[in-house]
Amino acid sequence: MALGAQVKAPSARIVRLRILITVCLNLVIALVLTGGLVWLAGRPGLRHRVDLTINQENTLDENARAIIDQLPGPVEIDVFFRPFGPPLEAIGAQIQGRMFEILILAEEYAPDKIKLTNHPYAPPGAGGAELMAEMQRLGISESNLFVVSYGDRRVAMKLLGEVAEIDLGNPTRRQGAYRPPSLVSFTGLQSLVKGLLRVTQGEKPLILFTSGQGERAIFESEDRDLGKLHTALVADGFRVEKWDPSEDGAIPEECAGLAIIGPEEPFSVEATGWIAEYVRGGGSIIAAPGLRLTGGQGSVTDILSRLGIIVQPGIICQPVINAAGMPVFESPKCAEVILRSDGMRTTHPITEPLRRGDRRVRLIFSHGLERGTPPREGILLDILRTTEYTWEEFPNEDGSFGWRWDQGREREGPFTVAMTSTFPPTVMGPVIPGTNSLQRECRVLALGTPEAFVNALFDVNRDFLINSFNWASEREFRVSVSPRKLDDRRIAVGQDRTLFYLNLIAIWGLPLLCLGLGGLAAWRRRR
Amino acid sequence: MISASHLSRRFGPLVAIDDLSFEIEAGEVVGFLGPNGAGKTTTLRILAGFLPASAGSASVAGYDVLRQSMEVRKHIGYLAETVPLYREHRIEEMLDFQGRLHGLSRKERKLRIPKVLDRVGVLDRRRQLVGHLSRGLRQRVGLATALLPDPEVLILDEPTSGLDPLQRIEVRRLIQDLAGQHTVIVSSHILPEIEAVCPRVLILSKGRLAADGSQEELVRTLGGASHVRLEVAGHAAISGPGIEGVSARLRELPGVSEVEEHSLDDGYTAFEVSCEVDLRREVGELSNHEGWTVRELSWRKATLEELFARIALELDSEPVETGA
Amino acid sequence: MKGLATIYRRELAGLFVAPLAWILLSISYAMTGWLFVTILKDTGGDIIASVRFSSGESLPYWAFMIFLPPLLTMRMISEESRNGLLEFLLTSPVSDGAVVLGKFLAAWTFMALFWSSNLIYAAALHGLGAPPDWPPVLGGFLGAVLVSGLFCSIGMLSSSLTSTPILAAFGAFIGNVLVLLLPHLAGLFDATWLHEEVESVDVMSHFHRTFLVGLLDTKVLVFFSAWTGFFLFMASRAVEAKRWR
Repeated sequence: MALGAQVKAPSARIVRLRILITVCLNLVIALVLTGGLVWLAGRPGLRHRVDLTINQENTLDENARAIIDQLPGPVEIDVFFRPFGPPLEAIGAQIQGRMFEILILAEEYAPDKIKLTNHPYAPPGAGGAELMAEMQRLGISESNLFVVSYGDRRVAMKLLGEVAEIDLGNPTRRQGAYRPPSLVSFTGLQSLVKGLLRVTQGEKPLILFTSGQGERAIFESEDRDLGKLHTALVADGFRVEKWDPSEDGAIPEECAGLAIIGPEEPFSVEATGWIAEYVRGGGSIIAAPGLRLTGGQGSVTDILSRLGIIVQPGIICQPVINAAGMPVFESPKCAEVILRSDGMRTTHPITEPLRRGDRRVRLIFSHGLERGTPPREGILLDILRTTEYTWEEFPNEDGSFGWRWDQGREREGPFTVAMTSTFPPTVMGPVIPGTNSLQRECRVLALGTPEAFVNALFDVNRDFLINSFNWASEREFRVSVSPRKLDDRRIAVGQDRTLFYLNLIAIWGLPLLCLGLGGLAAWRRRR
Repeated sequence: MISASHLSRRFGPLVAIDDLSFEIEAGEVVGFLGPNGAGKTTTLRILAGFLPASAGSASVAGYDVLRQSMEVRKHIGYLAETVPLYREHRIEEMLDFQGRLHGLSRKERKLRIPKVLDRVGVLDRRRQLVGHLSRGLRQRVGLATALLPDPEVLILDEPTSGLDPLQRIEVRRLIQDLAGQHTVIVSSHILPEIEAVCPRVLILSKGRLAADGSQEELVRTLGGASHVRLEVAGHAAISGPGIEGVSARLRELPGVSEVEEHSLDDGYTAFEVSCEVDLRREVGELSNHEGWTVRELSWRKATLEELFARIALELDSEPVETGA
Repeated sequence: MKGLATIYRRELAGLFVAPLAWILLSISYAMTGWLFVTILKDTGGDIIASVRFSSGESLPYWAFMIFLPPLLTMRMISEESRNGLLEFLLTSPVSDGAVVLGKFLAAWTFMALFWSSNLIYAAALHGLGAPPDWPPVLGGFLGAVLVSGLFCSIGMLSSSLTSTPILAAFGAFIGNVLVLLLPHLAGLFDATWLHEEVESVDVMSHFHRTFLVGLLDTKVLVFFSAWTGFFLFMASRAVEAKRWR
């Protein structure tokens, strides 16, 4: 503006240069102002967020914040999300978006504790090689997961499975009406907390296998031993040791889970006392009675019955289906029971992933389990149940098995072959290192047979077993973060009136109203 | 009311106006005359506050056009050559918009809009769409828009361009009506428009002020343009004092500044006696007295047109100041 | 302030006395209505999903966003600068900023009207006995309107830079495409810092992460307001530059 006041006019070139400079300066100042304003608005003290959703879906809850507060140091989170293929594009993007939002929330909540890095897809030519190297460094081979790392510890959380469960629906219309894939549950926050806790725990969780009572050997590789289970547990981040009550004394405080796999002899009175003390303080037990099912004081049967789980004497059998599809009886093979997804409990963290993955569990010579009286405030859950085509085989008078359903003498299925008992600890025990002590819970998982754990069947039962040990030792992950129900509101579009009205309003009403108003405007103009 | 001093405006290398200075008193009607491209529109835009000057300063109604642009805009009614109007609106809506822009209250608008519409003669068409109007009507509506806020200064850029002769007469009459109530600046490249309505004329040429003054003053000062024409039969020149003698006698008359003679093909000689006042009587008496055979004795008054033509054709390169 | 209101009123009237705006609105409503009902049917009556879809979760809406604001803003400054109306406005006792802002607000109002269809659907659902979660619906509406405001401001800038309306529309269109595709374009280059910078100015991710999931974030509110303000400021400077040219 000052240009106009000049008395002596500069040359046109200088004027134009000056205008150019002014314009550029304006642009720069405006850019800086805008950027600065946005930057300022993002400062933690100046930033405010209001979650409008009824379930507070976009807010870290108190427990998650507490866990982040307790993180010992900076945790790195690497995100590898890729577009899903059909028919999951939309729902996949939604899951990714929500998970990413939670990760950002966490990072924004504690930027000094959590460092988030996104690794978007890069084609091989442009950064793809570096991306592959990065994935290799983190030890992952697939996408759509996020990796939580603390020092050299890291754990990968998968979008489908750990973060969200989806129902594929019926997108192809091959069977019945079209149903798009839908979200069954979204547990993004839980998965984040779980990952954070897993990598930052000071100690690897210690699993003790009892020994000295004729249990299966954990370091041996014979078919009936537990060597493969041992290897898998170590690979999954557990510390696995033997506990011989006669040599080792009381159960150490840091024990995250006690495995009692098929002891043929009862525990000593002293050992039984140690086990009871351990459980009362919030310990977890994974137990399977020996095949001979010794009863009496100190036996597995005895220990389990006090925790609410009664072991039945009979062996659960099932007819063998031959090549022609006919049931075959009178074979020891009948003692092998295969459990499919319909026999697994929904919503239980041990069995739910198996159901989704259509995994099976194989048991041999399994006893049935019945509900007894759990400890105070305890909950009993059947997590594996056989079909109604099973029966409970009892030995004949001569002690031999007939492997045939004796209708008069033997009950028919379904039977429970795996059961959990959970209850609050009666004595507040010591804090187990590295775990969250916000809330503790005693967890007991009983199986009808030790054969489920052995090397011969390990490859089939692997997921079930790993889930079981994780469940037993990681109680805090699930309990500390209460799962949130998705806000699901529906309108019955099947009702013709509803759809009629919606069509009337949305497709016809509004557009025609606008056309009408436009016509009116035009007509009034013409007058 | 309006004063400009040393105004200059460049568009890149092009100098649109160059060191322009003038003063206009309140109530004056001033015509800006000049050929196309002389800088008329640029000057008016600077006065209206649309364009800033490259150098120099101007003030309207006591406000500097650059620093107090908003005040200036409140006190002027500016009608650009293109007559900018919203085509999709009715005439009264357009005026209502202008009224709101100038902050007129609802009452004032209700009162003034019919008044100005009546003044420009479109009151009965006030519900018509602007887009449907003829050029002449648009011009009138444009005038009404400029008049609506009752501005002290009216700046009209080529208000008669594109109009048919009848419409021109109407517009001229309208501008003449406005004289006295408003200070009016009218620009045109057509001389008769200015001649008809503006007592005072500023002639622009190539961005410079070529002349400034009332029509009479300009004509008078430019001088030499008015003359008495006398045609005398050839023999008189031979028998009498000769052509030089006639010229000498004519030159002796009081008030004569110059005499030019031309021999005509049919034996007559024409004398052009330059003078500021009509000397036909004196010349006639002289002819009678001398016994010359006179065929024609006539008075030719100099016109603005001649002046304008001379300036436009760059016959005069120096600006003419007569002091209005 | 008064001048701003006058300009705004005039622009709005200018839009709505002509049938064009109504036809545009009618077409958009027909499209969004059809999409809404289709999604509702396909998800088996999932209200949250359908309303969220209609708040601009999916691409069809943003494809519309690329075209609609340029169509609205292309005439506002560029045509007026050609036919002299801008000269008229700039010699009226109204500041340049008010002229730009008033015109922008008119275009923005139109966009808000376009998005209000979503509120009408939600209200219809409410009336039919299935009330949606209103706060996120309103949040989504606010977000969508803010995003369209940004698009409108880009249109205003483009409109103020040229006096050919078609060119203005094209410029705004290109600008909008750039804004929408910025992260994808950045993906073509192999530079992490670039990706991070782009992510911090990526409009759609800001929108998707907050308003669409029912989160009001002052940072994102400021983000949209600041950038809209930036483009409007540049537009008003460009209008002022017309005086100097």
